[in-house]
Amino acid sequence: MRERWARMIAMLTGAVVVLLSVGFALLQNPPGTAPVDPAPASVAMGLDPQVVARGRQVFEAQNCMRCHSVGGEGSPRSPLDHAAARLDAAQLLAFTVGSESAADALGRRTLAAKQPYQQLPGEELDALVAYLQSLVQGQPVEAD
Amino acid sequence: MLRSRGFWLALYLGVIVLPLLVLLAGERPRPGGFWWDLSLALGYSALAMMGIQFALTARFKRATAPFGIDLIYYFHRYLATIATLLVVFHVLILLWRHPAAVGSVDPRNAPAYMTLGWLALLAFIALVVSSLWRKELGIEYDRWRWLHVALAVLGLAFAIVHVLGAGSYLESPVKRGLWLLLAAFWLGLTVYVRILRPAWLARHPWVVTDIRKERGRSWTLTVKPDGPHPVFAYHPGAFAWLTLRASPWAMREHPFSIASSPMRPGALQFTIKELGDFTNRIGEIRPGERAWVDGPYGSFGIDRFPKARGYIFVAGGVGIAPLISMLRALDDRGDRRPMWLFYGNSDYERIVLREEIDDIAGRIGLKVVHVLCKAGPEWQGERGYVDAEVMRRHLPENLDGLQCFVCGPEPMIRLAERSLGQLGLPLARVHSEIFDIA
Repeated sequence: MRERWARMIAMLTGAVVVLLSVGFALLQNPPGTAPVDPAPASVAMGLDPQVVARGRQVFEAQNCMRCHSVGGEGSPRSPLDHAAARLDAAQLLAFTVGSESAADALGRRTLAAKQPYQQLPGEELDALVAYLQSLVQGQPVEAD
Repeated sequence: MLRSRGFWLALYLGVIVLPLLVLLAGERPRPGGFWWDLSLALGYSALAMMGIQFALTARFKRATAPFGIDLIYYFHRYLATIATLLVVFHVLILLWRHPAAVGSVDPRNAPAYMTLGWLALLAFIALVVSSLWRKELGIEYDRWRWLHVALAVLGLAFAIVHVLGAGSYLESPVKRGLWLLLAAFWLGLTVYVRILRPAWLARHPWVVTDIRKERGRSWTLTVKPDGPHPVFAYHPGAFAWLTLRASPWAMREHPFSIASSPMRPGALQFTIKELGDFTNRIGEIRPGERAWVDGPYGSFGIDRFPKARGYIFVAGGVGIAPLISMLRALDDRGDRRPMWLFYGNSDYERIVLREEIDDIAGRIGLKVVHVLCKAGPEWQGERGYVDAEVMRRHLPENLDGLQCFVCGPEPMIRLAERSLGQLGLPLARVHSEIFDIA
């Protein structure tokens, strides 16, 4: 009887916690809101497909998807699908390596987390920026 | 009593829910999709539930008294298992929906907070497995306790670092601070139970003054305060954590019902049966040895129902220990209310404290019914188990106003509850304590 009582309260707690978590997720994601809004289609012009492909390699090698997503792949908290619509190449680079100019937008912790990327070779950073510029509606430009 | 139960349940639910509400307060991160946010919420909630485990096992007399410690430990077991399942769901959802965000398991290709997250998961799973199947895995009790505390502290610490590192909901310093405070509180409880409380015990030593062999492979151990400190006040049916031949910090304490009568101050008695690693060697203890006693604990006992018209006691074997404390107290108080003791044992020679129980029965209104399951042909009394048939033969028709106390192994408690229910005694008036809570 006492054991059953303990089990019941524990299971009720589990149920309450799961329900609250579902409620939390729904509150964060009200039904009907699209997770990705369309990006302007004019940003992917004049990029070298090979450099873009190289940028994608760097993107994967540096595990950028732990914190960012592209086309729904990776952490959805900070999608990069339309970053290029808001930022030019110099700004993209500043955001990537956590330069001072991006400090206000990024916040202290994120800025600190990005400092190590300043050590990457210039070639890789340029390729990464090119890759970010290539993103249109979550679809990277295909390299032939 | 019910009100305080309600209070502690509400506090408990609050402590579980609050950390989640803190995440919702103030500025929230942008949505990550239903599954993403569900997974993270489950992760945070599971961690809050894990933290509660430290409070559940911290032996707070006030918080555990309305429920009884055996129930708290059952609850601890179920709740921790559920919390671990939620952690597993947290991971599985992410692996299913956002594998790239989880990244590589290889610690060389992953940030430290992710590696610590994996280690925390392993620690929690190991905690549950080593606890639910301790005997099957052949882990000795004292070793298991060290393992348990170490895994629990490491698991929680790793999980906290994981949350603070990954912590997409904890951007604001206030939220981070609150979660850090919560973690510090949980770990502080461990420091209290494992370091500060033993330090207090170390300043209040006890000494073994007598060890006496009883029937049925049992021993009665008498301890007295070794110093100016008095024996704590306790109610009959309470229990204490006893440490012998080890320091108070060694985590070698074992819970035993206090068998003596609180009406006779100056010493405590424990009646202990040879049942396991620790108790098998109880007979080797000699008078003059050091003892450490942490108590009293528990809410089992007649003094919670002083207005009862009478009492029914049901004991199995050494389950008599807390009940003999009540019987001795009732004897000392000269209580004249009607009482019954149904006492289940294997045979007549192994009835623990048989002679003393007969003496008490001769003095107060106690009717003793021995129920033997392996009695020889010469036995004239009840045979088998303490079931409804046996009880019906000895109890009056009208059970109004009676309170019943059962102590014994689990199947016996279930049988007693069912039987008394058939005789018309509501479950709310049947109070039980399982003596094997380890």
